[in-house]
Amino acid sequence: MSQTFKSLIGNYKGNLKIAEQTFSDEIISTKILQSSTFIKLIFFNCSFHKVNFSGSSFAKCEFHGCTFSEAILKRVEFESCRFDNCKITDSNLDKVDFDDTNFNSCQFKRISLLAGYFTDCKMIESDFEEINSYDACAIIVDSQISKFNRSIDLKGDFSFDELLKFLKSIPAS
Amino acid sequence: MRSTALQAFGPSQTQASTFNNPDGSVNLDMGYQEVLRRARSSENFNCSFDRFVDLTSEAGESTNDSMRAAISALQLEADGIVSNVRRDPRAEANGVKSFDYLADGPNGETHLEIKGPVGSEIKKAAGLGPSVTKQGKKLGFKIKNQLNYWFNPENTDRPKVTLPENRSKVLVVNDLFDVPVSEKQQMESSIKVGLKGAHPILFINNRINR
Repeated sequence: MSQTFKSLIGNYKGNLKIAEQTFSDEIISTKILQSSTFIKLIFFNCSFHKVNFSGSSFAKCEFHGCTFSEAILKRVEFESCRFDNCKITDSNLDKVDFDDTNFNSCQFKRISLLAGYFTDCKMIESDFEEINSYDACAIIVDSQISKFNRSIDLKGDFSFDELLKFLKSIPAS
Repeated sequence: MRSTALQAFGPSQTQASTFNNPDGSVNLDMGYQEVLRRARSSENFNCSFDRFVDLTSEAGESTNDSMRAAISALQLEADGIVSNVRRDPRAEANGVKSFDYLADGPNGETHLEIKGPVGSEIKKAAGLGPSVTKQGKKLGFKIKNQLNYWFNPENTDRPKVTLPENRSKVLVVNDLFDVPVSEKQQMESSIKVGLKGAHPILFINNRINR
């Protein structure tokens, strides 16, 4: 019988290691899971509200139809992950590190991205609104952004604001 | 009574990640014992447990990362490299994170930034890419970027923190404690490559660990 994410995290406050599991239709609220390690996890329709993942890492994880609201993703490393139809809102992503990660039809709204770092990422049909990244030294490196059949390849390192400018320049169809 | 037992830690975990309570929360007592252990040869070093707790807290919360930084900063103090390490009260009051600490450095520095890269086995154990070169270069690049951010006159966060007068007032320290001996040199050179000479940096525990 498969376990729920909620049951696995139990009353732990961090330093967990969870690998190779699939979770669906869960609501995780007001939890501290700092400095934890998550490998090859797949989440379907899960909601993370006020969850503090500070200093954790996600490797080869997938998020489908998930929401992160008022979440703390400070210093979190995401490597070779995938986000499909996800929403990340009112969350702190300062010093987040996305490496080789794809975002498909995702929405980022009211997030703080101070010193965020995106390398080898693909952002397809994704939106960024009310992002506090202006002059916030968020960087995007060697990544691809596509929206409404227009795309841009960012080779080298760019300010995250370049991405926001590109998205703004595309008229809504 | 405070715990004095320090756990052995392997190459696949950071030292600070072993300083935990059974529920996974940070065990500050164990972190404090490590501060005292690293300072055991220092005659004039003095740090109360309360001060250690204060240095590990960011917005009232201690994490393994913030504890790692505090242990490194206090090793610098014990070694006589810096003194008067403290949080920036203005940044704390405004809920903004700038450099890790205010401190009095060896060349008139007023701010201290601590970085803590990790060895390839630690990355591998987390399912992450183990390349030391990639991690080091990225870290060097991030240091450069962080300095650019705080010295950008258009940055609206600047009034919310105690700003260094200029770049030379920031002491950037890389603590290689969690990098194994076999990888320390490669990590050091990779960080320098990523930084491209944009700022002087100091390394500690870069030959053998304290």
